[in-house]
Amino acid sequence: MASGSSAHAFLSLAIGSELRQALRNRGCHVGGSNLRVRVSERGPYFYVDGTVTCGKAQTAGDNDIALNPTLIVEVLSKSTEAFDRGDKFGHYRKLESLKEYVLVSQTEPRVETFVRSEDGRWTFTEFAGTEAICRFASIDCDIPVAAIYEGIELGSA
Amino acid sequence: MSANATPFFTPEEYLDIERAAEVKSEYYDGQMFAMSGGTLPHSLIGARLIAAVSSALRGGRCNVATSDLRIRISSRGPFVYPDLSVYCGEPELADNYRDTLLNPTVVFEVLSKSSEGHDRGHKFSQYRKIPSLREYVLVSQTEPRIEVFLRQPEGTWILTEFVGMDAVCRLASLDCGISLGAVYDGVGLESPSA
Repeated sequence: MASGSSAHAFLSLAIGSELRQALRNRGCHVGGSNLRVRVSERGPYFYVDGTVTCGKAQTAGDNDIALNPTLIVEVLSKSTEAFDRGDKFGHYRKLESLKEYVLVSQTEPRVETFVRSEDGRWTFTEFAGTEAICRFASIDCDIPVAAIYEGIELGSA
Repeated sequence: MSANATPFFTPEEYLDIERAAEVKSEYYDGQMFAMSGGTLPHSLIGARLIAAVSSALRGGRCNVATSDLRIRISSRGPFVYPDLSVYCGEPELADNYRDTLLNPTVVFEVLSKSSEGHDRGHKFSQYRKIPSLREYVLVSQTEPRIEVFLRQPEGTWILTEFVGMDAVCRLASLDCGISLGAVYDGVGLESPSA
């Protein structure tokens, strides 16, 4: 895996810490970018930029592989955007526990969410601009875009 | 979108150059981006989509246009050439040249490795600004798979994925179905690295 830019690192932590604060006492765990997610017993395994797991977290390996995330966060970068939006999301959709997939831009204040509905389809919503408030429906949580991006200098890639 | 960015052009300058040019270019933020040719599977899938969608819409009020038809997202641009577009009722055109459509109902992009991130990301974000657009369709050239984003009244989009040769891709805005078998049968699919 290529290492990320500083904006990538700052944004991963920023959204994770906002989520952790919003989810306090709600029975959910927020994981950072050193946790892998396993899609099935045969793989694939992915490092993600953030996870939220509600209820009892199931793990494998040396307790460092998450099996049942409720929500996955990826901070987009130019080199991985096609994969994050395409094949990687296709793999994540096979994770039964997954209810929401969150993409965070590092070039402008913009968060996109895909939320799984009862019938198995995914609803896409874009929250763009510092006035917008992200709605994370699967965990019933609202976070202002401005709070995620506060103080972070955005990159060009 | 390739890296061969040109100097800044106004939308009027772009259209003047484009109408005289031998190579198509898209236009974003004052810059022109020459379009590259496609692979054989890309071209075959595009042609079969045209046949399948045209056949499904025959006799109705909607029409299919090829990638020769330019689409204008706003008066300042971008200007783009989707692989396929469908408009319903009267076409709204930018001017008397009749070469720039303003009101597509559905646009299709056949994915390729070089443009997939753009098609799924920035290009989709631009297409979402077209008020008439109801569906955005992404067509794989590595496996029989079509993804459809359908606009909802509250501004969200529902993603439905159709996979496999037996699947039928439902286009709700056109009230029709496209058989993936008809699109992919006999097409030598690209390897994922292509």
